[in-house]
Amino acid sequence: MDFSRRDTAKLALAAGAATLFAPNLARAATPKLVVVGGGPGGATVAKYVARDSKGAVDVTLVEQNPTHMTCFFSNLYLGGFYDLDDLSHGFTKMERDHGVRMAYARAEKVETGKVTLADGSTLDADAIVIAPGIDFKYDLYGGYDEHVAETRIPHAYRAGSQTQLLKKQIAAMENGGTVIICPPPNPYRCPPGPYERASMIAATLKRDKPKSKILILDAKDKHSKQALFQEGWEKFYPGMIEWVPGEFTGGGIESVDAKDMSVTTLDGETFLGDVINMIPAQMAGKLATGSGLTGDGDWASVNPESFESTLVSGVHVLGDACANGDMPKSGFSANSQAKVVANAVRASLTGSRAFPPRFRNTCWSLIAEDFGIKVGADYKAGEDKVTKTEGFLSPLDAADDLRAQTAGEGYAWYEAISEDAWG
Amino acid sequence: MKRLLLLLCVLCAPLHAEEVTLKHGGLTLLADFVEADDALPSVALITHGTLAHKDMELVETLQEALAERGVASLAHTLSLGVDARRGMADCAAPQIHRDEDADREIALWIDWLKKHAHERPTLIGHSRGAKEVARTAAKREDLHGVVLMAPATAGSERRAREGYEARYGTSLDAVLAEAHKLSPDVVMDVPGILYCADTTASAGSVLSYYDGEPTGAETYAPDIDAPVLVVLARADAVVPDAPAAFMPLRNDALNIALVDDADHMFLDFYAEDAADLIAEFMAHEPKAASPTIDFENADLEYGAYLGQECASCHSANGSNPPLDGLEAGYLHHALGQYANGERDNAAMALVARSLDDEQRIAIAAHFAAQLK
Repeated sequence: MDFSRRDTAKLALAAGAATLFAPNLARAATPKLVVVGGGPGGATVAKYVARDSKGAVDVTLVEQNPTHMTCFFSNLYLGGFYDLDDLSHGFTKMERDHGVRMAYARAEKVETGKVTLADGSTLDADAIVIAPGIDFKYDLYGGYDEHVAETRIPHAYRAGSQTQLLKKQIAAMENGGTVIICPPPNPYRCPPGPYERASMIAATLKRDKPKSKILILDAKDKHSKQALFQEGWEKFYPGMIEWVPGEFTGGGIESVDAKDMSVTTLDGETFLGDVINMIPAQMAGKLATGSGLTGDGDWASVNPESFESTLVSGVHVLGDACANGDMPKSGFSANSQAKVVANAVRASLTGSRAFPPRFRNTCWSLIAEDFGIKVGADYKAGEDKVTKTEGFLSPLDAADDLRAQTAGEGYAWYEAISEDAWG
Repeated sequence: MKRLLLLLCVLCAPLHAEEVTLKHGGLTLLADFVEADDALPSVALITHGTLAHKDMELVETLQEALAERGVASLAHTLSLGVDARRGMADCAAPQIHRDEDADREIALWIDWLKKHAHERPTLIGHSRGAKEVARTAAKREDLHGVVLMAPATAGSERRAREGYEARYGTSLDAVLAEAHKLSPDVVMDVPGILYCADTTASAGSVLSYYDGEPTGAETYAPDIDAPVLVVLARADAVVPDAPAAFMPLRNDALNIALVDDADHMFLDFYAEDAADLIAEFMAHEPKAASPTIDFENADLEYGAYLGQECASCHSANGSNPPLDGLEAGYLHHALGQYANGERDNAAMALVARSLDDEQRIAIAAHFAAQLK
């Protein structure tokens, strides 16, 4: 990824320069990188560029919340195995140890060379990386909007208040009640997520309300690690979890009713639930759509080497918000992409060595506290998208100690990625 | 083919073995000397574990395997206070030996080797023998190297003490209290001592094994002024804490090698695997890295970039092994083993196969350079 003379000149103009600077003069000052989004993608980019450039790049991280709560492993909070504190990560080390400047604000819009914040102020940048996560297609569903999600029928698919609400609702449910989970159509954040969620909720139900049931009304006909989940559910929660594929729901949910506490499928059938976890279809976070990075689609269109937008130059989009080819949308993927993007951006800003991109993802899912399954793959930058090279999947019918070891790997990964992104 | 012959011949006497004796303090000490063709200059002195002896399977197999690999060795039997002792210790007899007696006997055999023109021996110890070897080696400067196989750890000693009452029916504190009241050479009844139940032992013996701060081979290893190789069995249930005890001690002079699937006794092929590691260790200069791999000139910057991937799963304190400071040859070799399935982990297999040899060398050199 090279900045051509033309690009540099565009930057100089965009920055409001009154006269054209020659390219090398335009970079005489320390180049500025602005990163938006303090999740696993954004935090990793900010930290790696700041740390590896050793001060040669001025890095600002724009994040609207004082801490980031990871959506990954939030299912373990539902299962009673992790606290909210365990899931929350601050930015003190980002500033103190790596020299990243924090700007606690919401970004409204990005364009080549400039980030505009919600209060109207702007940040100049020689390069911009955004990792704004996902947004939800509430409009597709009758009776459903952000307010309903915040107060009654949580999606809990962005860790925070809705995750707490969901847990409270399950705790308040009577023994013998029904929890309905509605997983979304592809593509969406964390493919095995809803099924790990079912497992973790089942773990609490088994402990406290064993007569209860979980009904999964899926938009899809199959899902990630399906056979492994089925096997695990049979082993730990026999008879408690029922999965209804898209074939029988008509492809998903048509509407929800917050008053009656029911969902109606596209097939016309209505189900009552004591707790309803409606996970809507997804799209790129608002910052991406609002900045013209998604074009006509749901996800930001990027090149597979440096994740620079194909629509707005000088802006990179990574993590869940981008169209990331064969890679699943996950925290692991975001962290993996971030390191490639950090290397590429630092190279273009300082002339440091750019190495060939390489990507990886592994998704660990906990079915029970010491029983884990995993799926993962390697990826490379293909012609026009990130393509998978080789993968693996936990075997069926494995011994308990392999599952325990897999669970242990998952816990160790969480420790490590938390340290890696925010430590 | 060699392995098949060895299996068939497991009860045969080792080739070129000669029993040698040493007299000390009125006792005759026994050892087996096994020669090797084109032997390395350094001879290995092998010390067995608790209450064991030179003719136990592990020691015999190890001597045989080392000889095949050009390493001559002397395996001795600790007297435990018994004249010309052979075989496992006789629990019925009064146990009058003390922990520190082993060090003296090891020193005697080192002198014997020197008198027979074997100037700089390599000490090999198994289990408790490894602790005794480490403790002895820490006081010397005349060794070629030290090998600690499935070494006894302070943790295992602590666990043995904590489990004493459950095992022998009487509180250890009560036994120690009695031992403190007596002169060291006075023999007392003991519910148990080491592996012997319901026998007698001198008060000094009891105190030497059970009193004071628990120690392990790792207590003494940092003070050893010679290259150290720690050979661990991956499935070791006797000292499962050995990896954690030794990882922090890794440096240029102390390396750790894991024998996959082996357990504490390194039976059969696992003794051969250990012999491979030991022979290689003894043949090289202090830096255990293979001289054919050039880590010195590896592309550290590339290694740093590649190594960034690892940080997603490997942190300093998590349960996946920390990578900073790992010896380059060890990490490079481990990646190869993940790639070819010798080490069994689906996630690591993918990682290792995604790296060609040049990349593995760069990564290994990078992590070796991280000081921790």
